[in-house]
Amino acid sequence: MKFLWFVFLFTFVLMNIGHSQGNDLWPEKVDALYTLDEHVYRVEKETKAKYQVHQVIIIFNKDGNQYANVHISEDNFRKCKEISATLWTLDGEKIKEFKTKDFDILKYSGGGVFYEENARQRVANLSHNHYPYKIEISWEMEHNSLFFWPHWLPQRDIPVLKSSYTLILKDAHFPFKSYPLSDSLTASEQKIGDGIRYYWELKNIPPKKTYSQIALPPDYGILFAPGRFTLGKYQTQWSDWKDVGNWYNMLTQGRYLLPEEAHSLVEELTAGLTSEKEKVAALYYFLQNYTRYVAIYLGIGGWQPHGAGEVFRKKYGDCKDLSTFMVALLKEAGIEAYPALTPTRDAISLIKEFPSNQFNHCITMVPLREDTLWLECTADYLAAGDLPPTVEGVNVLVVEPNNSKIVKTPVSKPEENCWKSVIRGSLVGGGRFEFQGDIIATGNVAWKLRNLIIEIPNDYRDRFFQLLLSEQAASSDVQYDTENLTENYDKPLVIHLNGEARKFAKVSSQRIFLNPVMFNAVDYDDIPDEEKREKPFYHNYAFINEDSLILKFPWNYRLEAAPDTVSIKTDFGEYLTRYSYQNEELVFYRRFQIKRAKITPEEFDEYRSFLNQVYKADKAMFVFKH
Amino acid sequence: MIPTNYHHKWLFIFMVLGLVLLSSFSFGQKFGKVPKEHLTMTEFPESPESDAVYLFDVGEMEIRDDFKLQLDRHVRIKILTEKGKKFADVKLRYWHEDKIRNIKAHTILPNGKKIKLNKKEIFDEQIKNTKIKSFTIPGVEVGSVIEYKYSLESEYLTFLEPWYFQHDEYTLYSRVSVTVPPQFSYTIFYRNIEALEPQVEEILRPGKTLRKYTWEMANLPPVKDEPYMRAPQDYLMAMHFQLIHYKDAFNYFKFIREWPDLVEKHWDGLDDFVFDKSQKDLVAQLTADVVSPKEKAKILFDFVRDSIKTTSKGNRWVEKSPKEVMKLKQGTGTDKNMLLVNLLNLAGIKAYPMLISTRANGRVFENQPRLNQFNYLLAYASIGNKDYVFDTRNRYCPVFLLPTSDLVEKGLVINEEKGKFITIPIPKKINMQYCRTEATLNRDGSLNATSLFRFEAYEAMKMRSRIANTSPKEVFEEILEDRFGNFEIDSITIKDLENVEVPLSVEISYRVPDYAQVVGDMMYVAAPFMDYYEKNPFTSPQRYFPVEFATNYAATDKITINLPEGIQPVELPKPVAFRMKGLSCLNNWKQDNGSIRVERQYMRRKLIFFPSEYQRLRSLYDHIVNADQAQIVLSEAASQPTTSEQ
Repeated sequence: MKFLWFVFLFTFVLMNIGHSQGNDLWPEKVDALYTLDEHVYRVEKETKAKYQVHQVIIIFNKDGNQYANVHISEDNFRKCKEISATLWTLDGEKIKEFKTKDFDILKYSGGGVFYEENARQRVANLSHNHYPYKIEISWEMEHNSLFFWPHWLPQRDIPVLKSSYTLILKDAHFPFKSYPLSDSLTASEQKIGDGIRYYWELKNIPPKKTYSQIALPPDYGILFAPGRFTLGKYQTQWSDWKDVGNWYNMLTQGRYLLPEEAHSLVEELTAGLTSEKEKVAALYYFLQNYTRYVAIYLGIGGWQPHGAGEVFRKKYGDCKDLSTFMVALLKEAGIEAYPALTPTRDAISLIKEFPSNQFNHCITMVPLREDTLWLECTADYLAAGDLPPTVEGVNVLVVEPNNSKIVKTPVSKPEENCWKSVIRGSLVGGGRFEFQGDIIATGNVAWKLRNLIIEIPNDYRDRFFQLLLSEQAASSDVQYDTENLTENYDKPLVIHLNGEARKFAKVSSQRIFLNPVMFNAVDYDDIPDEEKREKPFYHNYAFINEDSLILKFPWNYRLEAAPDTVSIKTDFGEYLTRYSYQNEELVFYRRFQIKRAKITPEEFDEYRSFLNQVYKADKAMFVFKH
Repeated sequence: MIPTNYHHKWLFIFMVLGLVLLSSFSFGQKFGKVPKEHLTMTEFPESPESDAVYLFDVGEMEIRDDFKLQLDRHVRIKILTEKGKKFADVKLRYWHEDKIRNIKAHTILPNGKKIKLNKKEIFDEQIKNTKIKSFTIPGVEVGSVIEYKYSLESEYLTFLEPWYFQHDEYTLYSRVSVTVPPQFSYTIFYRNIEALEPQVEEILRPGKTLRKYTWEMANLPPVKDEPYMRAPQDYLMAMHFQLIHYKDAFNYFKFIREWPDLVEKHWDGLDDFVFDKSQKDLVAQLTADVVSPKEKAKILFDFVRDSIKTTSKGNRWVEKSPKEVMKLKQGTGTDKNMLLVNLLNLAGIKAYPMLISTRANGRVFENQPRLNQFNYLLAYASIGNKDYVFDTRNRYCPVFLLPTSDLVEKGLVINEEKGKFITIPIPKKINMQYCRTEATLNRDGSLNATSLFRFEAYEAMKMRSRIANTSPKEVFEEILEDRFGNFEIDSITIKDLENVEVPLSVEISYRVPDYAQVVGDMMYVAAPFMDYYEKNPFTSPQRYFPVEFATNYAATDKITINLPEGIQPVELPKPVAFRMKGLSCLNNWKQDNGSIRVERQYMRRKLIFFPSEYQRLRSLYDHIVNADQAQIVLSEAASQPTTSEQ
């Protein structure tokens, strides 16, 4: 209570100083900012801690309203004791007050560490319709496990004028570890009886930049972890990654057991297969078809999976359930396999120096004699050993008994992710192009297409190609059939198509205007904005697109104008076009390759220029005159 | 005991057969007893594209002795494809004061094996006043049948649970029964159903006889979302139930029967607000020098719109009185409109609250007097024998327009004379974007241009709101990037941003590098239309429901392209005109000395296009896209230009 009074007085002063400054608080125009962001964590003992948060946010416009959404997570280990919030005008006039009862309780299935842990969120939308306005919010949590020790991550995607983290240990010798994300953070210390108080503070924190396809650690903040903790009936300490792995093994003990029915099934599925690789592929394919991925809502990060027997019965589970089931199936077939905990590429990259809970996903590693296969058990339509882009090139913790270690997952090469199309046809009246042809796709390209074709609603299936065709071919009616769509994922996906692009060419009485790029045209939106880049830029994956178009013209058209053929080669990408026109037949070839997913900051300008050239070339027209 | 007499023997056989038939029928729908043909079927010929089929959806409602409503529902679904497995993820939404009990669910595999849902696999969620029971039925696979049942208990009897016969997948059979004690009398409203006679049976209970009404439908196609479609629930076959009266030996309670009853009840709560006199002096001050009622209305509308903050849209209920709203200087859209009604009356203008159902909420059925059809409140006034409707919630909405969400056919005026339905006047103003562009084409293919935009009516409202949320530069950067890709803005000037009663004018000067394609001594360029279709918005080859627009729309582009010296047009696109009832688009290109003048006029007056008109509409847009991208061919000192067909 005293704390809240202090907070109130402090805020009162702060608000009256700041109330007239409005958007002058930050040199650039922003949708919102934090004027205050305070965190206090009091550790009483291994099974008791208090966490208090106090924030003041100014919302300047409608886009800033997203920061007025409050979500406070709770479960049986973390209870929210009190929440209060007030809306103010910048002139200091109170608009509205909120108490704990005004926050809705969003209960959701699953979540928490142990599924039955009554996971829920306290939610409220505190937005106002008249701008600018200020929100002041405070809440207090009681933790009965230090597993949930909060990090201090003061950098957000809007500016923070002042952020602080106070750590109070009742016992000054209570073990904990911290990992600063930048060198400039030092704590002030103060002894309080047998205890100790640490205090960190930062001011004028710029917003963190978001980068495509990958998340990097914020520039500021401190990660915390207890030296030891108790969670439910499990007690442990995490001094290294082996400890973290052993803890996960403790949680999964006894959960790899399969019922008798599953034993016979494994035998049946692997009968007649001689190599381990074939057996892995067969069991992985079985898992993809037999089970469904049901995500844990809101990603609180439950750690303990359901048992393999339960997953077998229910036929669904989250990433760690399905990995557990996969490992159990492989063990049954006599093949060694391990769960691998990982942060996905869109979450913060693993900090290897800080063994702790940094994971939001689980895959499976199968160490064969001559190869290592990685299995993403939540992905359908993927071959055994292929990984989706979200877990390519990431550090994972392979959980082996007493030997857990960090390993980096492989990154696919461009020649593994190929698209090749060959389309032939004729231009008929009114600019219509009647065509047939094939598309052959491999690797991540094939996976993306399989997902698109299989998951698209049936009513929209005829419009599936709208999603692939360039603008000039968008008014098309296409029929298609496929090979290796729902099986043989290790083989290329082949799409046989035929159809009609109703307005492929623009036709006048004397001329035909034609852009022959039917697929994969680079759009202006694909070019990242110009900026002084400090961090790398990432594609999903390296790839090669090759498109050939063979188009027959009506009789007696000569080529009046053609764009220059293009050949660009850089360290990170290549682009090539060439054509010929003979006997009223245009043969056009385009090749676009991104050689690697990562573009360095030093290459960024060159990369933009490269894409600009490709964009311009992809827009260019051929002109034929009668 | 088998009878020996011949006649009795046949009677006995018929009775046995009848019992067998009845039991077959009930066997077919008994929980866990799925007919073999449903278990083994692998496709559904009546709807080959379906991912799943509702084999049945059965509801039994009863008003119990304790005067609570109980709905027992039983749903059975056949899973046909991988995508159909999602039907195993069930969320039952209900009012937070109601209760859901006795949830049972399982999957039945084609071989008959059952995988049951455990109680601990059922989770509770809550968002505001809605509770949700959510669960995933275990063991589902392609070819399996899933079913679930539950009981809902509610104390609310005025409106029973509505019954929707159709779903977003094919429904083989749907049935609802309602059993009521004789004291209760309900009226039934049918939606999208012509006539459906119930079966009626008497149910004998100790000391009383109940009546059970049953409606059933079979072989119902799905109703799915389509673009430019209003609320899907407008199209579902459904039934709604409303209590008329309760009558027993000692009591008689009348509930809502006709619109006048409903209006009278609603008026009781609102009349004080309508005639409150606390703002008399304010109104006198605001309208001091004004005589015309229309002018007074405008002044008062502007005052409420601009001086009172809108906290949220609101619903059909007034949360704060006009006096409170004036004190706090804020209120919901509903509160603000109620305040306007009050102020108008104080100014001597007859005004009343009007209830509407906004576009997304679905249409109101006038033959179904139900208050819960409405979800918002507007201000209605009669001025000089003309009807006016006002909504003060949007800062950029001028006085005689309504936000597009309010553009519905009718509203219900709540007054002391039993109320009336008023047709909401269609805004007379054409919703328009006008653009005049003066451009210079350079030899390198770049284009320098100045475009002067004028936005009127809804286009102005939309543009002002957009600019207010970001900045003029950001808004027009987005517009030009969508249109041209690569460009640079030199300057932007805006006129009348805050004056919502007049059109919004914006002048932009910009440059587009690589606008024209230059090949040797030839140049190919399309006109830089600002109202421009890069692809046909109607992609589906078929349409089941009308295409609906909220407002009319017109766009005019007048462009002058000044050519570089020595460059002449070789070929100009021929003028084109595309028309169908309620929609037209005309494009014209003309040479004028060293420039080319292009004019494009698009006009859509019609708001609804029926499925029978869809193919024509789609084809028309194909032509419009083609004409918008038509190429002008230029060359060095060419001969007289020719015009070309499109």
